[in-house]
Amino acid sequence: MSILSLQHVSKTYQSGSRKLTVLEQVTFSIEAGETIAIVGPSGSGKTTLLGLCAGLDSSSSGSVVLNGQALENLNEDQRAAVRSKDVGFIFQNFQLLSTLTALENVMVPLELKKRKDAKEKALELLEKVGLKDRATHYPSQLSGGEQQRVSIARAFANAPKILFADEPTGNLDTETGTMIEDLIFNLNKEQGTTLVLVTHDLDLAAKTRRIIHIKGGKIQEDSTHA
Amino acid sequence: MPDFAWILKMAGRDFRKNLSRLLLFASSIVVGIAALVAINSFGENLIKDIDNQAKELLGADLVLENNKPLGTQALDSLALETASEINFASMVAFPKLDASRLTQVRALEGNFPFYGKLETLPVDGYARFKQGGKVALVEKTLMAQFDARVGDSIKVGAVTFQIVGELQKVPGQTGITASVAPAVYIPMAYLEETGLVQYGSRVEYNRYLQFAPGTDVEKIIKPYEAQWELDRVDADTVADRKESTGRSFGNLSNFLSLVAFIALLLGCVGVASAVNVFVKEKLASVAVLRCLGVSSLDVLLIYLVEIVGMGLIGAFMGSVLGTLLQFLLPIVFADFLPVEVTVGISWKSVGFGMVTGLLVSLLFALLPLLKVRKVSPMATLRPETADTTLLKDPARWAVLGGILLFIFGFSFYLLTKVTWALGFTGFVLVAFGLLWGVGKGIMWAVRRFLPLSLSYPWRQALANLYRPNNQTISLIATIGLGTAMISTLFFLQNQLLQEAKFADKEDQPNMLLFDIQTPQLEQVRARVLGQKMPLLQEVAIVTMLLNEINGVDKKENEALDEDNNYSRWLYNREFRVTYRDTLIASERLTDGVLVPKGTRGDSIFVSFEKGFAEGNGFKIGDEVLFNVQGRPITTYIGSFREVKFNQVSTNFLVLFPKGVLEEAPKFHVIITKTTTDKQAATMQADMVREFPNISIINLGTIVATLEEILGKISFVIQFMAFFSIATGILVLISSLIISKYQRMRESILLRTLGASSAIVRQINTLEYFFLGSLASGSGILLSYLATFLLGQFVFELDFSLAWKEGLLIYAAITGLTIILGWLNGRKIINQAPMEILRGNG
Repeated sequence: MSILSLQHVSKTYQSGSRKLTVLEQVTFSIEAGETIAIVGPSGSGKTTLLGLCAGLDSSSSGSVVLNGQALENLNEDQRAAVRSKDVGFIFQNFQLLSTLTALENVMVPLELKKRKDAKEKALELLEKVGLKDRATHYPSQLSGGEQQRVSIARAFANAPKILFADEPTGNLDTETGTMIEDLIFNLNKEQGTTLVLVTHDLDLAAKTRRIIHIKGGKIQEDSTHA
Repeated sequence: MPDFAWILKMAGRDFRKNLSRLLLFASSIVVGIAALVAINSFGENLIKDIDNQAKELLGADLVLENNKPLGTQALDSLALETASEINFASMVAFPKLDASRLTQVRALEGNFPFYGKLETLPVDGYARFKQGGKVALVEKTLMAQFDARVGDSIKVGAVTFQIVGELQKVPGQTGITASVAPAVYIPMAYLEETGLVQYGSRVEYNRYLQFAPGTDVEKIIKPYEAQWELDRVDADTVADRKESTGRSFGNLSNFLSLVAFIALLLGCVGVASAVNVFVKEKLASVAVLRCLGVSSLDVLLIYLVEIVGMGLIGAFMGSVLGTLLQFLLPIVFADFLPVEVTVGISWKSVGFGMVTGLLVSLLFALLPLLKVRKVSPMATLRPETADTTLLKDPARWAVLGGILLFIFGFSFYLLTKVTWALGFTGFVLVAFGLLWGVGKGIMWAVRRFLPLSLSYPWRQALANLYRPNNQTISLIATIGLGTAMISTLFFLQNQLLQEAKFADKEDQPNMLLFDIQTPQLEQVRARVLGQKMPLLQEVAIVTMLLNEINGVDKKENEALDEDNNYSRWLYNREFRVTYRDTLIASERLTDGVLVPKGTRGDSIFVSFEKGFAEGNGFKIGDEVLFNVQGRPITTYIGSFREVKFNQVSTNFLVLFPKGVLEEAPKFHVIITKTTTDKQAATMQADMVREFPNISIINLGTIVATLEEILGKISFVIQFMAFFSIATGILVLISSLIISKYQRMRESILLRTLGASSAIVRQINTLEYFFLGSLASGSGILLSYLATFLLGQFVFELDFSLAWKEGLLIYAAITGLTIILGWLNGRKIINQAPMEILRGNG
């Protein structure tokens, strides 16, 4: 069953009198539980594609269907509701809310779903990423690796059907990066989530089952390996 | 439907980490709210005190006033007690110094005041006055001016009185009244002996009546009102006085509230500017929240709750400060208060302050806050897309409309007239727009014409003004408007005094002798010429009453409705009129034709002063029937004249042609010019000695009085303008603290690149110097414009650029900005570079 499907998706920006096409006629679909990496050089349209897949942005033409819902028919607040229900995010620069503690950051997606056990569940997730004892610390009191672990705990908090990760190890040293990669893949496996990774790092991409190469806004190659 | 419990929780979490910053925003409105609450509480308490002390304001239950002797009144028999007073302006001489001054002489008979008391030093002064004899009570300002002591003597007309008390307080009288017309009380028994009440003297006869407690005064005077109306007798009851005094002070309090409101609006500009920075810093968090699935409305509500909390804290702090501040106000307004004012908490004013504070902070914060609705979740991936423009957002225009509506509503609440409220709203728009424009213009000019040859620290400091989030324009607006208010007042006050002091220029007259009786005219003329002084003008004055306008007499006029009747005042006032066949230098014909000569039996054409005529609905050709000492004279308005009243000259509302009034009883005015102060003093002393009934005004007296009055008024205005300056300073401090981290990073970067601490310090100092210069410069420019406009259209003064005063204000405000900058910047210079790079600064 397809959890994400893109049909002839294009994205253009108007820059003065010039039209800039960032993505052109992109078509692919992802099955539930699949792990996939989108790779390509800088400026190839990876981040734009991720934004469209996750419903962070709307396409100029074509159709994006996420978990059975056509995103182009929804307004921003309706797409936000879809994200809250089905989607998790991990960012390169962690994107934790600086005024909230680690625990509170993880609680936000649970609270949005009005879960009564938000605190317990968040603590459980923090324990899984090895940060239960840092629950009351603010992001500024945590190292980069620790912040990304909190971000992973937050991403898995609402048991998303699909998880988008944008260069999740891009801001970390190799050792910490490897630890984060293991954490993402282990949790993904445990929860059966679909994982979409955007990365420059071909070694990281190789850990997924399928790799989509993108260049100049077009898919160059879509390969699956064992 | 938003989940309010969660929104409150999230707002609380964010508030916790932003508490100190949000308190800074709150501080911007504290001073404005404090001023508003203080003025309002003071006004409330004052009106209450006027109510409680109404009888002391009047000193009696009823006062009858007329410009002719009142004679025996039917009501006298109903009164428990009566007292009489005859008052008029006259010269009073202080023989010890051989000096004299025009004063208000009050001849008193009876036990006035029945309520309250004439407070004197020594305290038994009034008791000694009542014992009788040739004794007088003298206003404390007069005593101070002539260095007089109790026991000294003064000469009023032909009689010498011994001063038995220095008047400290008279019921219903304020310090300002005492400055304009200082009073001297003498016993009525000696009035005739003074020889001062003669033809032409403007004399007022007062009768004070006290009735038995519980008497309904309004009811018992009812049967007499019609007759008093005909006789032009003015009756003033406790209720009337209470109402008129209460109305005057209500108006004053409302006006001052508007000044306080301006300070509050300045604070609001600070709030909007600070919230703008706050929102910019929050854009990344907003994008994350949107990414996690929070709706745009919920995100807006989270930050709105914080702003409401901030507004409440600011309004509360302002209300507490305002309640404390009102204890100072009786001191500030001492010269204007007719009653003893009690101070205390006015819950109504506190509530008013809280609601106003909350509303304005909400409205002004919403303006930048609306931006969070537009933040795309894509900003988590591309941060540069987070900041959006709201130019086309209808919600932004709705908020702007709401702000204007609030300003209009607030001013309407205080001014109660739509046109005035619209005027005030327009004034606020224009003032802020002008400052904004001047600030923008100066900044554009600096950027456009900045010479590249300037040394690096100068260029860097100037470039820093354009740093994002620097709030340069809003600082220029807030500090600038405060500076503009204070300097306009300062410049205008100086210009008025300069104008008065230098009236000696060219051949302007500087001494005016009036109340000269016809038999005295020859001698006075000779005395003036004998002193080698010129006879610049000699004017005959005839007093008359107005009986009918276009056939409508006083009684008929009373019956007409509000829209069609003439002012009652026209029928009650005494007109002092002269006759000439030409206009004088201070007059200009604006409408109609000046008919130089009239003949009895033919149509007589008179000329009215334009402002007076238009204000009272007169038109060219109107028929006006005057009563000249009992003889009716029908006239027609032939022309309007514009009259410059700011010269030592005789100016008239009504001018008759020659050939009509020559035979009427009259008195005379002579206008002359003295060349030295000594000559003026000698002339004045001689005149008072020889012709005690003649009053003299010289320019020195006018300047002294003007200085005293302006001093008292300007103290109050400066006190009010202080709120605006204080708000500007708070906004400046808040802006410096908000941009502190950014400044630290820049300083560290410069130091890492090899700049010495001295260079960094120099750049920072220069930046504060430019900021202070721009703010004070804009304010001073605006105040020059305001002074010019006020001078041209209100005071009719020629504009002179007060550059020395301008420079002084500029130096003070710029110096203050640099000092505040230094105090804030000490930590920046001393911070270790690594701490900043780690993000712990």
